[in-house]
Amino acid sequence: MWTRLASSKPPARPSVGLALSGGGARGFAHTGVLETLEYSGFPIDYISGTSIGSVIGSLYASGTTVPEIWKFGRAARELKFSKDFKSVKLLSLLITNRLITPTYINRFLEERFGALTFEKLKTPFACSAMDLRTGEKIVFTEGPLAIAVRASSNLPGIFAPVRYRHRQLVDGGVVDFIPIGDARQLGADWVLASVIENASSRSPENVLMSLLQVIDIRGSLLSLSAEKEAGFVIKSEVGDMTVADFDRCEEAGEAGLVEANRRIDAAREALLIYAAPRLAEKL
Amino acid sequence: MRLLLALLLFPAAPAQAFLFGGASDKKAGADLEKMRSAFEAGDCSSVLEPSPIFLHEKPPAAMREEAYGYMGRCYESAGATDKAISLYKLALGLYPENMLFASRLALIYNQAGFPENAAPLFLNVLSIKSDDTDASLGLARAYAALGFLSRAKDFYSRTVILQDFLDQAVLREYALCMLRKRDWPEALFIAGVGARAAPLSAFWHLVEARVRAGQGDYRKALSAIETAILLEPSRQLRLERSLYLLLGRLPRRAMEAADAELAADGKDALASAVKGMALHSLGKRTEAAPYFAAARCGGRFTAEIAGSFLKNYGADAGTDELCKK
Repeated sequence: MWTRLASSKPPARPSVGLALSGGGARGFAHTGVLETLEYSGFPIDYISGTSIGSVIGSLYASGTTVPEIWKFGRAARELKFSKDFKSVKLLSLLITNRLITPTYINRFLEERFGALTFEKLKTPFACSAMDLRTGEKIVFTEGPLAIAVRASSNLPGIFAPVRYRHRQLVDGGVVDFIPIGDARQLGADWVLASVIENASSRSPENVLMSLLQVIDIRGSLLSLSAEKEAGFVIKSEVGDMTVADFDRCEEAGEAGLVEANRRIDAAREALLIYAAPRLAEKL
Repeated sequence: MRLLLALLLFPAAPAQAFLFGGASDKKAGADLEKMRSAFEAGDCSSVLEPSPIFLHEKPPAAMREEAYGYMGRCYESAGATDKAISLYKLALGLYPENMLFASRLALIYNQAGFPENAAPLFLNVLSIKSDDTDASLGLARAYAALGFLSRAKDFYSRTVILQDFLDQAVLREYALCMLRKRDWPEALFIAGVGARAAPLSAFWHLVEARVRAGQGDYRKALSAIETAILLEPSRQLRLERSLYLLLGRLPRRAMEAADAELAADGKDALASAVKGMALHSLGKRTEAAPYFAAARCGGRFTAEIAGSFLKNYGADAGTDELCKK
């Protein structure tokens, strides 16, 4: 039955969405989850992401293969993502009274996506950000991709808000840690959520890490109610990695793969149980 | 000064033993010889009993290393896994180049369900001896258990080549791993190799059937599973065939197959589910409902699938009382 489900397309079966949560560098666990989903032939018709989930989700939706995403994770050290965080000095923030721009992350997104738009993605994709002035959740489903992903992964209080049209946008994880609703709005009947288990067990060693950890914990709390809306949840535990440990992305990916492998049979069963009547109807 | 020099040049026998450990080494050597003989004779109690005294003698490192090897394997054969793990960990710390300790410890970890601990140890062994078949197989198993199926494929492939494709059990494991990975070409290749070596085994035809079904070619899947049924008839294979008939858009033939199973066992939940789904696909929902109700009495997954249909019909999916009767 699974092979029939995996090889058919909607409307012969219910459409499936994949919602990827935030979690900073820990969120690279989504890559391992994607690899396991591919092994099992899990259909993915729509993708939604918040924060790091929007980065990985947009890469996947644009047709980047899972091995290529792993390569980005391995290269994160060279891509100097951590440097964007290490460059944050509290004293300079106070003296200059200006938030910084994540140079290396922005460069990566611009180089990777260039002029790519949502409309040209291989899989329909949505990502969310928050308007800092109104507190509104802004969901992107059209227009230029790079700036939307930048906004969705833009940590508030540290990185300067992304100005887009009349908005000042920061990380969507503040208002919606797991964008299950966004996947449904795209058209998904059933949503699998990949969530990063709550904050690192490591004590934050400085002001910046404390702030990041607070954002992460708040996101995890938000996710508790959102998870109930999902058809299935894969929750990866990433150990003592912090949200800014971009030098350890591969480790997070492996943790995601191990957890997804442990849960994949249950996920397939959950989808099959949901999909069976429609699947049998179209035989 | 001259006296001191003379004393150093011509030490008395006890002092020589003290300085260079001669007599003690000889005793340790004799004890080790006894342990070796006992180990080779399969007498583990004679290996383990004198071991504390032997180690207390502080024998040379090479002797201790050898003794640890005998002791560890004796702990293993006695089922004292915790002791074996502790000993191998200690020994590995002292003799990091010793492949036996790394390999045995990794095997224990794999068997005990800690593949994440086993993998680095197997990698260590393979970095020293790349053609170690046991380590290669152990690593393939560890990676498969963790879900790193691409890496598992590399090491299963290496293992079966090292074994000249002669070990049927390993070939089966490899084929199942490739089915899990949905690596259809590799699974089919291994199924072909396995079938040539064991042409009367239904297993390889079943693998082929699952590959064909995975590729969406249900007609070829049917042909393969029918060969498997001829070789080793079983209810499980017949029901899998009925599912292929259903998925291959042959619902009437699927119903016939399910009916045959229901004739043998009227309470066969899986056969009831297949028949229900066949009727459902023909648009006969009223006729399908009782079969789904019967399937609710099967295993958890079958019951939940059947419940999903009943819910879809707006019928009561809770048939616990019915199942008790």
